Amino acid sequence: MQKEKLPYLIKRISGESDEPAFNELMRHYYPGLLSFANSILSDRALAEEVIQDIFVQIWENKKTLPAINNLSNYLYRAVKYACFAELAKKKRIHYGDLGESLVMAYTKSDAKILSEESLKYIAAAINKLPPRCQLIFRLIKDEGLKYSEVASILDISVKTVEAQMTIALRALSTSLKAVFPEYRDHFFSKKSGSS
Amino acid sequence: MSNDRLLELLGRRSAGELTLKEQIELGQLLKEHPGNQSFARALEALMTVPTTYPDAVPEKAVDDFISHVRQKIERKRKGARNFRMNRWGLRVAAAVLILVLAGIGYYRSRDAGNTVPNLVATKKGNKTNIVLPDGTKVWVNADSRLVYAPSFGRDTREVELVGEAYFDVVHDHRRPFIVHTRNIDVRVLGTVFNVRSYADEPSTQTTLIRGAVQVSLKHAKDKKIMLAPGEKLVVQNAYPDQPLQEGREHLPQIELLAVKTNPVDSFSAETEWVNNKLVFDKNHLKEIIPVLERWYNIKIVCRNKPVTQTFSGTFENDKLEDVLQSLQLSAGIRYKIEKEVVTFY
Repeated sequence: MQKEKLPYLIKRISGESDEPAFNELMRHYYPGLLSFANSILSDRALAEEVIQDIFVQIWENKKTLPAINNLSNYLYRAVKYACFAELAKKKRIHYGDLGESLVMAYTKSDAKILSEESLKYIAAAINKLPPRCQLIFRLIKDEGLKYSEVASILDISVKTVEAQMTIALRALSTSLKAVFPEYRDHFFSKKSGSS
Repeated sequence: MSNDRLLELLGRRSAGELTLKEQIELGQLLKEHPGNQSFARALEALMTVPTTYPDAVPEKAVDDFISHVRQKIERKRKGARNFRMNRWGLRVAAAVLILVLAGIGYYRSRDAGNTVPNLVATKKGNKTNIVLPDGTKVWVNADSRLVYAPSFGRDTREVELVGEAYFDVVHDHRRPFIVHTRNIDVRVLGTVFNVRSYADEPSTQTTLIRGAVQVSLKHAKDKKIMLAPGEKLVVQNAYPDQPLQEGREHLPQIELLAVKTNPVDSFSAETEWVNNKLVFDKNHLKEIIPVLERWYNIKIVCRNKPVTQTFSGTFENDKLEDVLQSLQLSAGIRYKIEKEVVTFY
């Protein structure tokens, strides 16, 4: 699903109770939310349950859906709070570092410069990043969130978000250099270049 | 220029955080080296590649998830429907029909033409729920009246309430929904809330469940109070131009309280009546009596010694006898039922 399609889906769901549109919305958000919930709860079955209940609520309150400014931000926050509530039930209120994300992939691109081979290589590099760094990169890339929104979802500072994003991009530049050997010498100026 | 600065700027660009100054700086960095430019282009292309989880979350798992959500929605819907049939039943429907007809008759005789307001009224011991022309759902508690003009929804959505009602308002930012009561107006866009404004009670209470509402006081139009979900506004039904009764000076005129909501269904003591539950939460006997009178359509006469203790409890579809039994057990209030009159002694 393209990002531009989201307002249209929301309109169909809230205005016409359109079930296929709702399915498409779930199809779009579910894997990412599951990865996020799983990294907090480290319990995939519970994570599924939590996200199911959130979508049930979304359907029941579909009339108010257009009033939500930024659905991605809303959903990730909703999942975060629901996960915290689950942790509190189990008396494990403190969540320290995020656990592992689910293993993701980049399967196809419209851009010709990125072949299937190179995408695979890049995805592998991203999958190797620390969980929090991976998550920050994905929230900005896929959900179009702002640094401040990511910071508040993860209860960290904007500075940390920016630093983690830079780490992710550095890993990317390294893998892109490997993917495009013909660019290797041109990608970045050597330190002697200019300063 | 360090590579990190380039990465930082590219990161800010992808998050839509780039300022004009940084944009110029980035443009310069990209021009400096063709390599930077090709990296930026590859990165830009990558940012549009969707993240998928073909191994961790295969198509089958997504389908299963969707059908689970559907099942849960269906189960809840069925549960709610059966419950509602039991809840209101034919008895209520008949009572409301009579009252609505009576209401129309009353207004007909007063005023002819299509300006006749619509009236929904309930007797003691009865409740009802209706859907307004805009799709807004309203649950009307016992001994209450809700009036709205035939032009409702054309330019504005305004209703008048005496008694208690629970509103689930359809969102429409062009036509605000306004509930008028004796001493407050509640203005909303689209939300769920409860208003309680009985003539025989000392205060008017507004409880917000979801969304946002703005309450303005009739006697002080400039005073507007925004409520957040889970908040309850209690306005004493005394007016500043009336002399306050002795010993009431200490009572705050306006009070904003937090509501204890059940995290599962977001119902609270204030709104459980919609589910046909009679809830008391640290209420004094003198607060409980009018509620029981309305709920069971009875008259209560007090011949008992004054009781200072408070009562808490939830009664679901319980008979009057059960409630009175509990009062007797917890506070030793004995009672006698004669037809529609209950005597405490």
